[in-house]
Amino acid sequence: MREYAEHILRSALDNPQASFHPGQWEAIDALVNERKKLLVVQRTGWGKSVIYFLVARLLREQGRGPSVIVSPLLALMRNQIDAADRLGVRAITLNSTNYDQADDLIAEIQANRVDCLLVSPEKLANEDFVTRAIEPVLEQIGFLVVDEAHCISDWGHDFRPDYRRLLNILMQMPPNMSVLATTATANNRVIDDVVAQLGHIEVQRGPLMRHSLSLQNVVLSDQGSRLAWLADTLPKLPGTGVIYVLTKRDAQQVRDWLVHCGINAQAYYSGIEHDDFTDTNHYREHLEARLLNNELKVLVATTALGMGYDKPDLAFVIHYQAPGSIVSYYQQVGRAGRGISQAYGFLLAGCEDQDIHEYFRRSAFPSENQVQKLLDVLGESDGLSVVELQRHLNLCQGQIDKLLKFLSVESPSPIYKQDRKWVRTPVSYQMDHEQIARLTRMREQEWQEVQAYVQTDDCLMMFLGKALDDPYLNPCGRCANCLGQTLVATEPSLDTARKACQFIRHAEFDFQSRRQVASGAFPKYNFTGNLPQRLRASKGKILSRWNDAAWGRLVADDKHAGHFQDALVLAMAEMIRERWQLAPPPQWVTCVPSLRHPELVPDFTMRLAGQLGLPFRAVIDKVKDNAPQKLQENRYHQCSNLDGIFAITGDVTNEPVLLVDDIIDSGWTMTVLAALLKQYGSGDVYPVALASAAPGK
Amino acid sequence: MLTAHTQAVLLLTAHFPGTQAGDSSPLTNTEWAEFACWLKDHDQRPEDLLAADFAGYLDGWSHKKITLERLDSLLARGSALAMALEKWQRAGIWVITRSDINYPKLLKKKLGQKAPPVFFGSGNSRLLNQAGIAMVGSRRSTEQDLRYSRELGACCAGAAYAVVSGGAQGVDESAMLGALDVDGTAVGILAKELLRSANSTKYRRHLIAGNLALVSPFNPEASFNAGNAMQRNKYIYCMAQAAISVHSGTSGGTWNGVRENLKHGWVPMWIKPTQDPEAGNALLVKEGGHWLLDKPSEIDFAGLVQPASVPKPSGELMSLAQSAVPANGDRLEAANISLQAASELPENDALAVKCGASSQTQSATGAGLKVPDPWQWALEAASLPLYEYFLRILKYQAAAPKTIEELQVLPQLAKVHKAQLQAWVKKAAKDGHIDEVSLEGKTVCYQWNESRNLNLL
Repeated sequence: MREYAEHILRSALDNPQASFHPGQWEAIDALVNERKKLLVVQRTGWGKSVIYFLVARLLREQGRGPSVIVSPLLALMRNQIDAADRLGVRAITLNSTNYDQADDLIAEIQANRVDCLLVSPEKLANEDFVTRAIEPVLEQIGFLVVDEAHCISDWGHDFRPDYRRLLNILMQMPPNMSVLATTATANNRVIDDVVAQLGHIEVQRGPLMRHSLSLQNVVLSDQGSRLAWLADTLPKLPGTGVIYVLTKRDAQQVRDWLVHCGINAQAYYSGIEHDDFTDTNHYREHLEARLLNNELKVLVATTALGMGYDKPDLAFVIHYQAPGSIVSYYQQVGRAGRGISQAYGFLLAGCEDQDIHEYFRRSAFPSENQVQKLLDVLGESDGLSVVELQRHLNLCQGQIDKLLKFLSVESPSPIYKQDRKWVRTPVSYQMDHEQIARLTRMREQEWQEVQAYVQTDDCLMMFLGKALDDPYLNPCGRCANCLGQTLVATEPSLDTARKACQFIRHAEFDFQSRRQVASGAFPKYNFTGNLPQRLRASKGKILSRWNDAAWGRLVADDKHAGHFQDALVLAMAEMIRERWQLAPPPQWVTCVPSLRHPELVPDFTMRLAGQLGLPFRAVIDKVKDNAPQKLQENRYHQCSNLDGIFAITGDVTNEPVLLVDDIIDSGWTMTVLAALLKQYGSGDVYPVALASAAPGK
Repeated sequence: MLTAHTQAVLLLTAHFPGTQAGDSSPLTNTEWAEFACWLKDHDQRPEDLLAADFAGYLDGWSHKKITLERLDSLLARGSALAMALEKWQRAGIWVITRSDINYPKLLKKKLGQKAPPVFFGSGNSRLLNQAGIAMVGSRRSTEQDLRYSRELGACCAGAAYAVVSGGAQGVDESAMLGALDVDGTAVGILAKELLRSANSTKYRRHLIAGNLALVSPFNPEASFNAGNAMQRNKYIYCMAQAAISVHSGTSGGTWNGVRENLKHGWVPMWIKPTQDPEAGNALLVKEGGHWLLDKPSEIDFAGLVQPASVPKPSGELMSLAQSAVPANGDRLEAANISLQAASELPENDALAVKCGASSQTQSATGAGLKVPDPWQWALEAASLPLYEYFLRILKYQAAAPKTIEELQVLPQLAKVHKAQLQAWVKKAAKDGHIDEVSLEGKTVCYQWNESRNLNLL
């Protein structure tokens, strides 16, 4: 059989001399002939897919059903499908982008014309999808592959809830089912954990060092210097690459700056949308393809550009902020240089990294209180949709999703999704605080290891290899430490640095008022459904982001001090006059009233109106006290907290007006006040605020 | 995580969600029984079949329906098993097979190989071996019947019996909730949608509290299927120690279930009287059911289990017949009911435990009821109402002298064990209720002594 398999390999590669890497045939043999369970730890590019496609083919030839490969790729399963095709394996993928063809594809599977089915863990966790696409062929599936298997372990840097479910599926696999788990990024602890959880699984591991990659660390604490460094360095780097950032906001800002500097860059993160694309998946696919075809110099991405993105000629990976662990750093930087002889990995460490990671660690798990409330609410019902949950729980959609995900992958779990509603199961539940504390401690240690990496004078590649317990280690001879000199300059030019600082200070952005009100939230104002166009605010502006490096920090300090200084008045006036072409221009100014701080915003607005030479009229009254709007976590609560709170008491003229507030959170206050002003006959309403405090943006 | 044994049994016998692959329809209970027997006889275990080459273990197996090909495609359903079990276990569903400690023992005892190989369940699996009373009734019941069922369930709980029922709407649900609402216990044997029922508000907190077990021999997501419902009925009776039918039509699930129980004599079958002219209740009594005439609060549930028992003479058991004391004219029939029921004593070791100390004096093995000292029993029974019913029968039937043999063929006493009859007669004679008369110096006869019984009845 080995000869036969090797024959297939040779014709696939069109190379009569080709033979298996050590370990490849052994793995195939164990899976096909002994129905074993195998964990293969080999670096990316080693040829793990040769194993699973050949196994799929050989099992098919023995009369078994199709194989299923679970892999967290989004769009680039195309690569895999082509690779399978060369090995004579008919592979298809079922995902959200080809859901419309699902019927045809399922028919293909049922007609026994498909050898291999590629799905993402998210899809495999989706009950609707499983019922429709997987169950029709489930009984025949002959072989299961789990790619990026390190995600199974909660010791892993990248534990994912959907993999938790995958682990439970693997644990139920009877001894007569072949299972292959593969990863390129697992240290001993992770491997041991996977083995301990899955029981009878054999491990095969090879060297993980990457020989084409030159590493260097660059410590630049402020964002301005790092932006400047990027603008200076990128044009000097050959080829195309990826810049990893920690937040969506950073992805957008870095992208804007690079474009401002004439560099062909795009932002990439989960949920990113574009008017030309029907949904985020299509747009992300488009971005991935553009980078793949070298139509972009660089993609500025969060970790959403994740595992499985395989571009062999990726020439550089730059981290704008330090990642949370060495293993995730290895994995991200390891995307560069897979198929070329020279590639670069730069890690820029900044001062805000620490805070962001602390925030990530703090918000990684839901609070006991949130869990208890959710279970109480579900316990009283026979099932609630997410929208219904928002009414009962004052949590934002993201928090509710996270909470549901966290609980639903427990096994047994206190909640279960049944007919698109969440129900409480008869499982008593206690949060495992000890485990949460253990995982948080581990994340802290991992972060300390990253700090050590930034500081080290040793070979950088060896440092990474050690963290991965790679048994085959030696100095790389090509990192900045091995060479004893920098690969690129570590300081930006003064000129670029100045430009970057100015860019940051002019980083105001648009505010779009809300449209669709939560149903039943406005019995007094009687707003329902979509607010009509005639009541909507025009496009507004926000000067900064709360606590950001430009004006945001000043706004935060002054808000606490109870007085916004003139510098902010001038900055906002300048923005309105010089960079915001308002047509028709505003003829008067008003502001959002507050009972808690009755003077703060009116005082600021009066000075702003003075600068702009417009009359200030405080026409809005707050007639009823309400809970702070910033504590309202979802649309229903944000809307209903405002119902009947404001009244228009002054003289509203039919002219365009600037509506001023200090902080915009959900945007509902601005939306409601604009609607009230317009009901009272005002002209266009332009919302404007000093800072946004919307979380996670 | 399931054992390899459970995995193998599930692969061979369970339906999983989704399309069935080819001809791999899971083995029926009977097929499984046959196959499992063969494996046992050949020193193989089901889990042995999970080897890469399982056919080696089946050397000599040949069967028209259970072919090697069918076994092969059943055993190859590992992915379906794993995906289904992951989902079900996540929702708190567990699986037990016949070899598990919590598998209902009564079921194995009464149904033998016909007992299902696998139960899916939710809640407290230890309840499956608790003594229970089955309560059944048609889904279309009156408000009155539902109130009665609820009270019946509550009173049953008060007597420390679990309510065993089918979890269907109507009588089933009312009886179960009646018990659960007073912190009693219940076992629901469902024919469909275990998963959904377990997540419902009405059952959830009782499952969490450990007072309820919901089980189903069918896939937890199975939707309604009349065949499944019928098959399930027998498990309700066989997991209980007596059964009460609150309301039955003259066809349908309850009707068929009760008749099946009467036919097989699994457990004493009690029927609640009803005003409903359409009901099949009276017909079911004709077929061998007993009227249950008392208000729920007056029922002695232990008596339903063992109304008049030859081998179980403990005071507790005998007093149960009280429940059958009618307030109206058909006293004799009531007595008849009790005595007849006594003869239906199930061969059941679980009951022996309930009998307390006196159970040690007897070692009832199989159907043969060995009685160490009938006289001793009679003494124990003397204070008991059942004995009084016997006396009542004597009053009318032994006005003229009767031999023991003649008494025994009386319809009212036809099913009473001879040893019991002799014990009662001896005691009645000793107490002076009857006189021992020797007719023509040959046979010993007994005659009611009216003068000494003036204050008795």
